[in-house]
Amino acid sequence: MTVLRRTLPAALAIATSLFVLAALFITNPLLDAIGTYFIDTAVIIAAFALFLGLFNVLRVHARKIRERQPGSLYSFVLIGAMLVVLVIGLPPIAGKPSGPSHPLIQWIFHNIQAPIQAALSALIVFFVITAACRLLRVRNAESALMLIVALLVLAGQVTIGLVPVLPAIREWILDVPAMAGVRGILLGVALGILLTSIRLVLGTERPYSD
Amino acid sequence: MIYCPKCGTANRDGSKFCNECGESFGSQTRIKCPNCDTWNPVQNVFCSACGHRIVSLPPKPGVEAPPAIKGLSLPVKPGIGTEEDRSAATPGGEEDIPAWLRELEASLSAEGAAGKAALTEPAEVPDWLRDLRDSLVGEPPEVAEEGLPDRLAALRPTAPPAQPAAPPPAAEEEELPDWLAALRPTAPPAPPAAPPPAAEEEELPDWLVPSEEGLAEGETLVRAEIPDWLLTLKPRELRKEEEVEAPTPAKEAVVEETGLLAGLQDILPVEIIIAQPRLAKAGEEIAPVIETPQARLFAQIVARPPTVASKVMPRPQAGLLALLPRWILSIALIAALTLPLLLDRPLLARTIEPAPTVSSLYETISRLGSGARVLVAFDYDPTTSSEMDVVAQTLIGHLMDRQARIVAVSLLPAGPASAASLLADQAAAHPGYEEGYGRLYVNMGYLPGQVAAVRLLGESLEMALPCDFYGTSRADLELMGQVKELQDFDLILELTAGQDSLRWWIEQVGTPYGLPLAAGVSALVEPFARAYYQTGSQQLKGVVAGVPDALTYSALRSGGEGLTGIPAARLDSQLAGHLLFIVAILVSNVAYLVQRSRRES
Repeated sequence: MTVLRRTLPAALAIATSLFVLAALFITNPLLDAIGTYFIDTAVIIAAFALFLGLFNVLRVHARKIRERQPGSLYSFVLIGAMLVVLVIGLPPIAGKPSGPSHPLIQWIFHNIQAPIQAALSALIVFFVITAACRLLRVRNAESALMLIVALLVLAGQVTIGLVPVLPAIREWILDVPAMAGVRGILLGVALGILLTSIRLVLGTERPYSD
Repeated sequence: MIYCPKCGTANRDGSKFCNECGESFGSQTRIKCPNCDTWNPVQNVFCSACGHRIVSLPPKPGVEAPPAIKGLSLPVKPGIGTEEDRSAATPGGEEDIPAWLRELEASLSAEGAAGKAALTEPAEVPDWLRDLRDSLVGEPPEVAEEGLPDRLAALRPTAPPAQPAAPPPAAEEEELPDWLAALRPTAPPAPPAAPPPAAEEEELPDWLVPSEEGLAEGETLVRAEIPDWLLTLKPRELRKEEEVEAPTPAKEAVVEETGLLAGLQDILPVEIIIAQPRLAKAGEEIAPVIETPQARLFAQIVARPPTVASKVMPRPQAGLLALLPRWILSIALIAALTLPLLLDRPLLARTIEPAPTVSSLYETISRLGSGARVLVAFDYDPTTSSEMDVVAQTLIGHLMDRQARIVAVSLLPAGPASAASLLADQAAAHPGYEEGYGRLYVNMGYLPGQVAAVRLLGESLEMALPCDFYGTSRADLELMGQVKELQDFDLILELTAGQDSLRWWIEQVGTPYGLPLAAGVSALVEPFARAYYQTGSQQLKGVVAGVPDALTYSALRSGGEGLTGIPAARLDSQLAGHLLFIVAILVSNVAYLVQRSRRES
């Protein structure tokens, strides 16, 4: 039991990561083939995870409908839409290829999915302008500095060609102070990935068996 | 509860010795699982790691488990049963067997079978005890093939948790005297209210029967009075019986005196007085309990007579910010964004000054020769397509201007559909590309696996791109026959609205393989993209961020002419939105400062 739950997954993960690392640092045809095989396996597993996600969505919403939970009508619509798209897209119709390139699926994508997603995303602007009015207030020195920077960047965006100095100020803000912050974030992310990778290779971190 | 690792008996927390077998708990703070060697706290019955039972089952009540005390246990030879039984009974193995038990085992082995028989069947065993043993031994064992009786089978460590034992058969109860049944350690306790059987007095031994020898004629034994202190020691159950048997005093009859029920008796039950509130007397003062200023102040406030507020509190005035409700702001925003799109001419006459990142990318693509192979990653979905489509149209259009061969992929499931329509639109607008799918441009579809997919592109292009978006094999695509590996591409163009996918392409493909990489990103990702542009090796050859950069890029493609038509309207729309943002922020700050100054004054 312990071997199956803890030891075997840890051994597989460590061995796989070591092979991929060795293929990255050592030029050897055998190591390269093994490393490529493992990466291809990861891609296949990721594709299979999409199927698991599909079944999980079906299970969750089917339970909502069965238990008549609040909002189960939306679950019914979701499952119905999912089945309709599957029925349309899976079989090849009249010589047309099946799958996402099917003309009917393309029509659904361009006339239903894309407009809805774009509209929902566009609603963010109303929340952003309200949040900006509440956030960017002069409460103390730090908030005053933040307000000035925000106004300069916005004004540099607006006055293209009208006030030449404003775009230059915007470029300087993006290239110097903002760049320092972004590089700090990127270095922190890189160090975090490095540390997590070392823990995975050493078996200290075992997200697959916990 | 602490379960004895030796006999499985449950003991109260804090016990140092087992109530049943006397096993010491003092040195054992943890129990080692015999299955997985995991240390568990002594309270555990099953191993927290593997679920294996780490405490042996307690003996079945009324069937076996020879008691270790009370003089009723027959000697049991150590080592009876299998090796598992012994290890389950003694977790520590042979080392935990006490010395006296080892000596006993040695003496038994020395005396031989005759001695063992004599030891197991002592001559002084009374008949009733022999019958009891025979009745126990005579029960058929549950595990016939192993020849073990129930009490040993129950000690198996792999056995499931014991079910509640069935009560012993009635016949067995009849054969045992009551006092012996009461002494049986694992027998269920008798009901507390059960009266003692009358036969018990008849079976009293002779020395307990009251004797009248030595008494003169006419003298009889008189029950002595039991002192009070002795009565207090009497068991509670017996006292309850006496209380029940004692006659209860007669209730006082209640006769109705008034009303229709006058003269009737015991019509309404007498109310039981549970608590009678104490009536406060007039003028009674409550003595102060807490002599603190807060308590005195509270007492003064409570003692005050209630007064009606003489003046009405004014309603708080709404601030200036509250006068600018959200719906007004929303209407203004909609107007600012849509009005420029409705006009035919640009609102502002301006000159375009491209950013260095934009100019760099323009020069990079302009340097591509005719027939250069470019890998374009459409890593955005309809959520950001309104912004990213403008960027993608500009860059793809420029690539087709340069007669580049375009291979499109996507790390998002919805990306290939966007790429298909965009590539078709641009191909229709560029002569030579209308019928050029498969030869001049291809859409290789969705790559699952995110960062692993990007890495797989570098490792094996054939494995990563087996067929295109329409299901056509790569062998049937003329363009894919020209690219065998990733190094065959002259440029990789990443179109993304997320910083993660941009980082994956730079880390997994651009830098390791030394391929030139450029990016068209949303305005949100621009600060992150600039960080890779401003490196010494220029990990990004150029960046086009958002609609303004895309329109600036379009102006560069048209030879530096001013924006006209729809692109100018889109830029005006966005700039009007930004202007409204600036105004709204300034107004809210003015309102906030005025409100704060009023509050302070």
